[in-house]
Amino acid sequence: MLEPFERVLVAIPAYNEQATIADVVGRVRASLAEFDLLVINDGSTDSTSEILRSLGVVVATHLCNLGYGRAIQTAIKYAHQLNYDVLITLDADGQHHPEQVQRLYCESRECGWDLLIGSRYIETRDYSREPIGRRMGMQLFSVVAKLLTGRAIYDTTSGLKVMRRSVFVPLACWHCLDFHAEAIVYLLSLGYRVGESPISVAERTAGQSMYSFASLFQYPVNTGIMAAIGAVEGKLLQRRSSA
Amino acid sequence: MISILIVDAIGFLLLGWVVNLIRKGRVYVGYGSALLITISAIICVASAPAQFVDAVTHPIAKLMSGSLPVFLVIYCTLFALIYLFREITMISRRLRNLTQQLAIELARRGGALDSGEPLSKTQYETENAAPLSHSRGA
Repeated sequence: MLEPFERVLVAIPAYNEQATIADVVGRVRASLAEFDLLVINDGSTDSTSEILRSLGVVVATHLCNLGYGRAIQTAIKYAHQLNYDVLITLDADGQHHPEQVQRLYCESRECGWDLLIGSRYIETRDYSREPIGRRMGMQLFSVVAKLLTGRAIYDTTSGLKVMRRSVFVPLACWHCLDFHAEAIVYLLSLGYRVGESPISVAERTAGQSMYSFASLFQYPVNTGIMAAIGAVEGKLLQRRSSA
Repeated sequence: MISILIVDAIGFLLLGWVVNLIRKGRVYVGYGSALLITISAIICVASAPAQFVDAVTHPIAKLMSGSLPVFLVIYCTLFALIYLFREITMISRRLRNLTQQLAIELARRGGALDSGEPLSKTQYETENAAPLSHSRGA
């Protein structure tokens, strides 16, 4: 249930998601009617644009493809500039169930999480459904987050997140990559409350994963460097502000 | 021995510089990670015992071990690369911010260009001409 006077934005970053975007938007509208909806069209080259036009949804269009992380950053900037209290992000590939969002939103409000991650693994801790490369990456960054912050985060790559206004500025101003492990480590080091709540996901039925073969090597190196920098910088900033 | 110390010192300075540039978002971490790996590799090769390096790769070892000018040339090249990457990152960051702000402004209008379609050049000029002339008038 929506808290009175609380403005909530649901943001869906979409890049070439013609097969699923109409269904996802329809399900979000049906189950989250009281929330505002924004689709970030990240320079799609297929018919995603036309579908969004026919749906009459509010769209922030990147003139060229900037990538997933920058699409999320656009959503955060939009939510900040339009004074939203809560931003909820979910993927456009239809893997997330919008029906679960209401529960996550209520949990984030009741427990006071600054960032609540919809986690696929917090209950089972079973990564075996994932391909080997991704499985190793997820386990690695779960360990990295634990080492750097002392908090175990089991799903660092989930696209379903509930962010409260308190984290808009640090996330929009810092140089996050995909708002995964590096952003979580940075927020934890700054002293924000980050939690996980179990969700179920559907299998991807259409479209392509944003991770290519090259990202098997690039992703862990880049995210690892940013996580380490984020941990140090977050702690320094927190120490400076408390001094 | 002194030449190794000089090479290591310059290497650590460059490492610190690159990390600081990544931290401030002035060098994209993708470029930064490549630079960090290269600089670390140079420091390792320079610091490794010459016999070990010789054993691994004899011809390269002859060129590399303890040869200060060679390392200085490599570092000068790296310095230029870091500067170049920094400039590229800054330009792409400005373009990214512009693209994002334009997308937000169009979404805020909530209809005029709510088509979800990237703008054509003509559309872009038309849409941006109005606010400019308004602000001049005001």
